[in-house]
Amino acid sequence: MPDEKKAEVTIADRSPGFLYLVVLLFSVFLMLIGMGVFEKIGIPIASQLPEIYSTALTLCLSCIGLGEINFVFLAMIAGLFIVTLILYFVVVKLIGGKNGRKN
Amino acid sequence: MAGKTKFRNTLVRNRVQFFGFLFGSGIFYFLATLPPIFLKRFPMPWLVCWSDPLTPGACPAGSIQHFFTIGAKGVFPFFAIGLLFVIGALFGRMTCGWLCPFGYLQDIFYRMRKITKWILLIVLVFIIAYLCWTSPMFSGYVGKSGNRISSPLINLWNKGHITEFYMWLVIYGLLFAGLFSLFLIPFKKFTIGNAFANWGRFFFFLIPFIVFPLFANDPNLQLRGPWFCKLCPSGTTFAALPQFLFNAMPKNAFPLFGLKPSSPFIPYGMANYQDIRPMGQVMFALKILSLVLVIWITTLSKRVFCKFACPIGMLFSGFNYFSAIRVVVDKEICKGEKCNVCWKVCPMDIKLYDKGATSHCIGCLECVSRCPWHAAKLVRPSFFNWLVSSKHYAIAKKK
Repeated sequence: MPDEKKAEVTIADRSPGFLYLVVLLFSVFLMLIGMGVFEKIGIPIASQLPEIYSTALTLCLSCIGLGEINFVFLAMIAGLFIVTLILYFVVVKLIGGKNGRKN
Repeated sequence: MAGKTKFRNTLVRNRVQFFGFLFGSGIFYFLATLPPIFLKRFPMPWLVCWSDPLTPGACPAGSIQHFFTIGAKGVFPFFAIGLLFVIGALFGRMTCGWLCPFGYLQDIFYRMRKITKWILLIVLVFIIAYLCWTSPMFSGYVGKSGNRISSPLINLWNKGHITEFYMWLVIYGLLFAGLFSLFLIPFKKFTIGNAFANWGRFFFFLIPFIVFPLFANDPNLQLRGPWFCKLCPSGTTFAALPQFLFNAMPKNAFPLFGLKPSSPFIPYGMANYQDIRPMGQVMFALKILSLVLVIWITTLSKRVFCKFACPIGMLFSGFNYFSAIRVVVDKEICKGEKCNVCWKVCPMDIKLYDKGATSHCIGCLECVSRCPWHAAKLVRPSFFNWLVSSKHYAIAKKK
């Protein structure tokens, strides 16, 4: 059975902090740049919304598997994936990669 | 109380996920046509293909990759990244756990694997048999000039290439029968370790999602492409299959549920009555094969794609360490391996106390509501009291 009493008296020393607010403000700033709001004050970036909108209305042949595919690139991705897997197993073998456990 | 709490979170999450599935996969497509909403301008904070004929929003992965392929050096996708970061700073990876349509599908495939497997197999077999019949995928014949001409099975039959027809029929049969036999072999369920999953998702985030769209210029086409999209199983599910199936419908079936031929959301080819089915060739076959493989692995391990390959999940996962709402574990009272309730209920198959588990957490709150020791707690600022109240969840308090 859970130790209710113990659970009640234990308090995690966590609070939301303020980092998310900093990142939030920075992200809003990025969004505003992407909306072209700062174009008039010298940041030469036009609104990206029309580009997203027009692209979203155009069928992406890649997404649905039509159009041409460069098999050399596809083979390169597959090769790099295999290299990554080999690297993973080598790294695990050399320095150990088991997840932490608590007993 | 514990039972009610458990029931409530799962029930609420299932409903929200179902709504997210309907919204993300297209039931509310008409929202995008209602000015001034224009949801198609906004990348959705989950993986959904914008080639889905009915989806109201833009694909975040597609948007970001598209900007990488513009011009000689690519353009930084300020708006798409900013919007995703806003969501990430507030909710971390919670959209993966509560709203992502492809995540919901994976949850269903795993939870109902015994029943779903058979339904899924029958549906997939019919769809793939239909696609083999109407799209060239691999099949074709050698023309009089010696060139290979791609042709679907139906055309091989109609045009009298009977030998080639039977040859490709056997090849397709062996290929897909081999693939589907995977579902029938009783493989053991498995868990992907956090470290292994990290390597996988870093690979898919860096290589097909960033490096190839930025630098891999196709010498034949003279352009760069969204390489993650070419592999994406969500795109196959929500865009490729619906596009092909819509094309199979009789042309006079439109307007279909208000979907007029003049609508921007009309499936490709419908407006000019061009049939796209013969265009599905080797790349299309590869997408279908990869989708079937992902579905098969999903019946053996929870949310494999989210954990191992999703670039949007990868983008959000860094926020899990400081987002406004996030799950923390009080290691002083956590019983670890002796308990493992968090692992059993987690849709991502993670042990909350494990090293690196935080970045994989999708904020479904199942562990928070079910941990018998109240070791899993929720961090949230007071202005989110209305969203996650202390009445239903263990809230971490300030020291």
